[in-house]
Amino acid sequence: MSETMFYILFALRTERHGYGVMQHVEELTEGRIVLGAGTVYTSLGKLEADGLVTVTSREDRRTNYLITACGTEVLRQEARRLAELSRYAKEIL
Amino acid sequence: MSTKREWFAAFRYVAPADFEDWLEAQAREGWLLEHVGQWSSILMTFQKGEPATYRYVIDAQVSPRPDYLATYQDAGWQHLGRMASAHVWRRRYDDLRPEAFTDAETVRARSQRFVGAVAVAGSVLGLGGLAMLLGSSMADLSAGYANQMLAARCSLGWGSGACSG
Repeated sequence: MSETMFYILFALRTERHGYGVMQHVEELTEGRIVLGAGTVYTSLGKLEADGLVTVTSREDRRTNYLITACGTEVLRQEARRLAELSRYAKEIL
Repeated sequence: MSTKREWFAAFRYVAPADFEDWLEAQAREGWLLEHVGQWSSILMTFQKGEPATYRYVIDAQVSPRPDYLATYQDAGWQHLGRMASAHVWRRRYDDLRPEAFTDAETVRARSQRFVGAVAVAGSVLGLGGLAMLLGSSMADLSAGYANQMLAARCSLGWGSGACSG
């Protein structure tokens, strides 16, 4: 899973629209990751098509998304992989 | 206000980034793309104004979802319009050049969509041109055939009023 997909899924543990995802990820990573509008829009479409996120509501021109049970499981698996990576990385520090 | 026109600007570049860089260079010289319409890929009009630093982005979306425009606009992008399926966005900047596509996967997907859109538009344009050429040739052939028939009728003495004079 790419870093972009990981952070978008992570952000969608709470219902958010596209720009909300961008703001949350920037805040979470203290400005290290600034997701582009095109990247977020494209990624949300792919995640929705894969059943990892779902549309919860539409307000004005915005669409709110939320992670699904399947998306949560995929995110957990990735978190386990990253934790293992981090454990071994610490050994060489 | 002076304007300049560019023919087939969208067909000069295979990579969307090259087309965007060219638009940005135009804006730096004061030639601003303010509006994009259905036929702008064929004829693009620039308005003369103050030189400005704009980041332009081309994003081909055949059937965008309802939140497409809002996602870009909330992030500060101005929608200039669309030419066929290619949406054109711009955003003014001072220091850090803004990006709409920030990871390798979506950059690649965006490039593929752009190439596809240009290929479809080019094919439609080419087929249209070919149809016009063929239509014109057929009309010439028909006119030539009609003239020959008329000449034959006249030489055989079958002519009516059309042969006189």
